[in-house]
Amino acid sequence: MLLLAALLAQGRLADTLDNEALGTWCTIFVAVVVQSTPFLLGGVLLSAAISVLLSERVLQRIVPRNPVLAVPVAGLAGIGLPGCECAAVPVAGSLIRRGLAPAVALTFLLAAPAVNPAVLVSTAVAFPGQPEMVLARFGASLLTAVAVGWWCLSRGDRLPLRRRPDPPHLHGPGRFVATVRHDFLHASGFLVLGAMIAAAVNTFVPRSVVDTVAGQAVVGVLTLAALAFVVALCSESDAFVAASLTAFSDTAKLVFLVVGPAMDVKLAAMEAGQFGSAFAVRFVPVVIGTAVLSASLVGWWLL
Amino acid sequence: MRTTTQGLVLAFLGAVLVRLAWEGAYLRFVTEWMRWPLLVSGVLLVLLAVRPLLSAGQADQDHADGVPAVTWLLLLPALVVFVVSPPALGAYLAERRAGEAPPASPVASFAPLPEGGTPVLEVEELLWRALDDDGATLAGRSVEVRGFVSHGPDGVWYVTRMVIGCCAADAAVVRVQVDGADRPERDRWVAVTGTWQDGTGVRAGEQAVLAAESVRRIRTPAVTYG
Repeated sequence: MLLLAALLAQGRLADTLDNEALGTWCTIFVAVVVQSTPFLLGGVLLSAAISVLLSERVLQRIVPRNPVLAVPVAGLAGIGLPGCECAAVPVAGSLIRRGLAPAVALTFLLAAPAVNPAVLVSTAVAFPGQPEMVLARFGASLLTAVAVGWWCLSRGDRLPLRRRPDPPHLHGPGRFVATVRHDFLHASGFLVLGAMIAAAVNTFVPRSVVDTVAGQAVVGVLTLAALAFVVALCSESDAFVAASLTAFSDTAKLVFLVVGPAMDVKLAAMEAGQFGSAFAVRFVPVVIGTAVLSASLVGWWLL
Repeated sequence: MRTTTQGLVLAFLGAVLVRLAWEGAYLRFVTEWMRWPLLVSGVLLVLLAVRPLLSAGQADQDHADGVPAVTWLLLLPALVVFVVSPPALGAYLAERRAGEAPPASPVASFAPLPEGGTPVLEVEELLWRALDDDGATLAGRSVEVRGFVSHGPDGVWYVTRMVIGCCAADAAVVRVQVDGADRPERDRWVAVTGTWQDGTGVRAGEQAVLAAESVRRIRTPAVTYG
């Protein structure tokens, strides 16, 4: 029915919506979804592979037994997943399903989109002649992931993490396909929701409004942290946007680069879907606060 | 959401991704290298939909694997593509983002332009050359730039390009002001031949200006983003 209505309305709706602002919102909204879907699907495939292939025994052998030690190991393991942040959420979910300590999986979730080679190379390209920016981004992002991991560890069972029910119990290839479909359907709606908000901010809030506070050190840092959260860019391209925010200090730009991959509106929506909103309400502010602090510290020291 | 509906939602999104990648319309949203990932993803989504669609009419329909209500939103991007067919970013966003700095130059200095004729430059490169050594490589040369028209206050207009890194959400505006020619309508693609005006755009934050010799309309290229 819906499809039929869409077919009939195609011409008329296109005229009614012939409004530049709305058209721009549509373009950016579709762009974010189109860009993220292959990465989300890749993440879902990887997470299904983890669910099916990686037994709890093997996982326990790879990951250090002591979780305090396992957290930094998970942070460094993030170097090996060259994808956008959308891929990391289902992967972290399936690692927890496989019995990995949530703190360790969440560390991986925070580190993977920020410290992988693709992101570091694009940062180097966006900031020519400033290799210290790459180093600072790597250091501050890893520090954020590990610090939040240890925080989760200290909260232990008091963290209201909802474990999603396992996908339908099947065996063999059927189980793999069912897991992929289940995970994709659970995560993608939240991705679309985040994309809608991010597109609205991108379209209706000109970035130059933030320039008015660029001169103030503290306000500048907080403003770019908030901007990183609401515009929800891919971690592979956010360095180019950061480089164009020339009015801001290098430390404020670093904050933008460290907060964005760790937490943004799209990720917050997906994490609320994956781990429950009671968890997201605690986790999101802690990640942002930690990212701002660690980026400011590293920026003050290196830049 | 019933199992059959889940299948329909997946198949619809998959089909739209394949269509975007196949017809080239994906270039309005993302960069060229995304074509194959989009085709593969679209086909995979359609394949994922096969089993739920085949199970239509089976008894266990209503208490099947439940999904959150927000999954309905998955229909929205596909519907928007299908019904609205959003255009490539153009003058509207370029004019709103006018105050932002263009991307930094990837090279420290530029080689001289090729001898003779009217070299065609990307708008971006023209801006970078103006910044390099007070525009020494541009001085006295006639060049051609291509882009769409965006307007400024008081009859001012620009040849404009949007430069994207990943997708349209991270678009940056690059533009050169055109003097001495009638202002075409917004979003019209033009090729402007002209001479760079000495001393314009040589410092970051200043606007480079081209004194036009000729302006001709061109077709909108397949890849509009830089």
